[in-house]
Amino acid sequence: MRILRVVGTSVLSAIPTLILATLIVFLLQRLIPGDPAVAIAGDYATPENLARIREDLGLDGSLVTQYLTWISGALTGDLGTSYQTGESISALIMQRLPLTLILMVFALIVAIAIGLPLGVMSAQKVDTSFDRFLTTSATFGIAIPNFWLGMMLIIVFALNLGWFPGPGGASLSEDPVEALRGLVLPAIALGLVGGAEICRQVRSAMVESLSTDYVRTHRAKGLPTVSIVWKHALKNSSLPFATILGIQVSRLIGSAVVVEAVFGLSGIGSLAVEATNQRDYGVIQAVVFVAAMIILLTNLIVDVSYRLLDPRIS
Amino acid sequence: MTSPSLFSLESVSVRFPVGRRRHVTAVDRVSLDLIEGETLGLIGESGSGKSTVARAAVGLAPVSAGTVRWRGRDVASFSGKERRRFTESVQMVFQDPHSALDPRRTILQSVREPLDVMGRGEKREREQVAVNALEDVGLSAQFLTRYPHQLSGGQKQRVNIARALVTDPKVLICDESVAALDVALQAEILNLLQDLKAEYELTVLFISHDLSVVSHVADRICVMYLGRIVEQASTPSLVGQSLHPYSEALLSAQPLVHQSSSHRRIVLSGDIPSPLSPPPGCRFSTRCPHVTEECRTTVPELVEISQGHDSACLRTADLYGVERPADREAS
Amino acid sequence: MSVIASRVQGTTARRRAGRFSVWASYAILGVVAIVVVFAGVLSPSSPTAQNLDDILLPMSGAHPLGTDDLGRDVLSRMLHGTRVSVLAAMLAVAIAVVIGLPIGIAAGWGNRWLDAGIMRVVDAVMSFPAIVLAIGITATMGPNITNAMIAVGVVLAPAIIRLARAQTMTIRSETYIEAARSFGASGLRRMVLPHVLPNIIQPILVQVAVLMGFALIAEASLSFLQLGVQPPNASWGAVLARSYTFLDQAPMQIFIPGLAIAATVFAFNIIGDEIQRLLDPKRK
Repeated sequence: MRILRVVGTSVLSAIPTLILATLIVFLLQRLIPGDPAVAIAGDYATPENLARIREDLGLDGSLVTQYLTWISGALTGDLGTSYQTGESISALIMQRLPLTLILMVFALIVAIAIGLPLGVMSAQKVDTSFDRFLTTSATFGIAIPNFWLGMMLIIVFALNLGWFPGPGGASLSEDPVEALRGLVLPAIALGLVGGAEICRQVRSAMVESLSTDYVRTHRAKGLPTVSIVWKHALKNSSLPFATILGIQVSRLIGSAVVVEAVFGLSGIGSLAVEATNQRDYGVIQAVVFVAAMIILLTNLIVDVSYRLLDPRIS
Repeated sequence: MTSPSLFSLESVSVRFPVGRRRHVTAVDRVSLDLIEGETLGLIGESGSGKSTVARAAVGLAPVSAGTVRWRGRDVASFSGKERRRFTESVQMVFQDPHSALDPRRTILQSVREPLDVMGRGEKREREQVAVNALEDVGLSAQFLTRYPHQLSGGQKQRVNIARALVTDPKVLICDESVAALDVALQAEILNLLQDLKAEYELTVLFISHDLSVVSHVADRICVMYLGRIVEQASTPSLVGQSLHPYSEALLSAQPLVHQSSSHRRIVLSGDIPSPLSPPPGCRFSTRCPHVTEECRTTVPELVEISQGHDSACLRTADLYGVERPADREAS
Repeated sequence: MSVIASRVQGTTARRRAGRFSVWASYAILGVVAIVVVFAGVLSPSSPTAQNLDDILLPMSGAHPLGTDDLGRDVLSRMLHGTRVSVLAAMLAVAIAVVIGLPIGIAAGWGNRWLDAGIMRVVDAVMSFPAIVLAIGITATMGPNITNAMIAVGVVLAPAIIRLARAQTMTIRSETYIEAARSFGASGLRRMVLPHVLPNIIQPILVQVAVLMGFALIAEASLSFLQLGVQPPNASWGAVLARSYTFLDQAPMQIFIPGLAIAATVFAFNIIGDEIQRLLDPKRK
């Protein structure tokens, strides 16, 4: 029952942000220079076509009606139709989203696998040359544009060594194994940089946690260091970790868009890039919307886990 | 009181919102009269609301009930111009000399600022006024371009006083103005304030938790406890024969003031209660050594007990042999 | 968003941490600054001059970094690209500060309804992945570098808003603010400019250094996606985008712009840490 109440509170408190976020997505349309209908249909559109688009977008009604029409559609899974291909945008998204999500999960695994142990080790040896080396390396890691790292990985591991497929991987539905193999390099490109960030964040969280009286007491009791670090201090840092992971998800979606373009993966990132090249505004809007929904959902999960983990928040 | 009051508070209350729909009454129906030329001491422990009284007087804290009067007129009714005259006339010297000066402004900028804000005269004139004020507090021109962190605590407090003087005020409110300084410096600043009082013909409201300091400078003293004034009298009268157990306790804690060895030091037990939930009846009842059942239920008003000596203790008759007028009427 | 959190506290290790990396960072930023100012003088040729007889040349005396697929001198393109990338990033950060500082101060200074309203909007903007929102804005407004950097500026503004708000809240209860209020100081000219702004600006400078790094990566990303700098003009992202199309023939040309970005962003982050360290009042 507590869980239900906690989830309820979290959802309620997320609603204003959700509304404002959808409003921002909706207002994106307003940034289209000139007549949106002309911009969408192209310069050679027939008057009938223009009229149809205007009606579809509700451009004749007030801004409020337009928003309500759009949001009621968006929240029920109707994101309109692409004026370039005539396809349902929701269908397009559903077709592309799984690949992006799998890529993000892979990248998150790589990032945690690198960042967590290194961050903990660094925190244990605070102020040693090992710690300094690691922190400086992590700062450099954060500075690397991950799409460029992806290119370097392609040059080394795909072109020269041939261990992994190069850009333009197989489709997930036709050849799943080959498609997953194609996700290894992009996941590493994303995960290395993410790992550097996690390393720094985990390090500061752990440094703080290790200096608490609680941990000192365990130390005084003579518990082995390994147990103190991995069991007690880490448990104590679970709240910062939830935040760190939430931040990583948001970062990864953004980076995934560009990395997908590098590796020619057909996720929602390259969907956005294609849509941009074709001036397919509805699709761009939809991708931004979906990305925001994923992050809001992540934040919601972080929020719920906070409320469940931290006895001080009721 | 026969002398005209220059600046007065009439049963002023200050309430602050705390959380949802809860309020804390920091100052509860406090009345003060500042008579031109005097130094009025306001004394109380931290948390008694004495600083809030000062802040309410100059408009920094919201007055939720009651009236602040300047020369008999309600300051809330002042027009913009009158308001400015009032601000010029009543200046404040803050408690902590370190934090009362903007760390990023030079001494000259800080001291000149009240004049800048009020847009008085030319910049050169304003600068001259500031330089003169600094001279009056004993700081030479070499300090003008320095920053607060380059000054000692005593020098900073002098700068604060100079800043309060540039508008040529009538009233100076000193809120714990020497509390943050060590004893030698305290004496120095107190003497400076005495000199300036004469030179600038100031009326002073001197707020402190330290009775020895207040009794040294004040003509009259008001004692505050938990948002209320519990006793008010001329300094000799209060120090000589206090009519409230709380004041007695304060006095007994002062080695300088009470020399008589027959007095025993009264040690109050417990802490000052939270103003969030003040005790019903007399607010001092939770710590008073002479508390009775009546004290816990009846709220005692501040009334004149003897000539010019007000007390809010219900038991003045039993404890000090002077009856409360309300009791006299009742009997 | 993550920009702030990714830099949770400068901790003890970095207090002594590599003086070397600090000096290296100053050197990197110095070189970048010189290139930004003197790109035209330093370049051996025009960044857009094509020479289809000399395409994809390797490094040589005439072309220290080789030529690209249109025979353009890569060194010249990198030097001009440095100017474009750095100026673009500065534009984005300037926009973020111009938007973020007043709004953040207003949120921190104003009543709680204003604050709550502003923070809701900030939360909403922060619920977008920065790059995705920037792509959305740029793609909709029309792809060019100015639009791209406006978008990046808008996306980065919440980081400044949050920081300015938190700092303003810290100082608003300071006695010197109350003292100023006691003699009637208020408003922009008498309160915000003389008292609030100077006392909150230092942490914001640290943030500006970090955001510069972020904006440089954003420029590279957007230009790589053809949303930023448009051909034939050069920027770090544009050079990367071009050289990616002949990845297998001249891999070195990918290496150089990436290294330039990474080194510069690294330098901004280290300098940000360094400013923070210098400003730390607890420093002995």
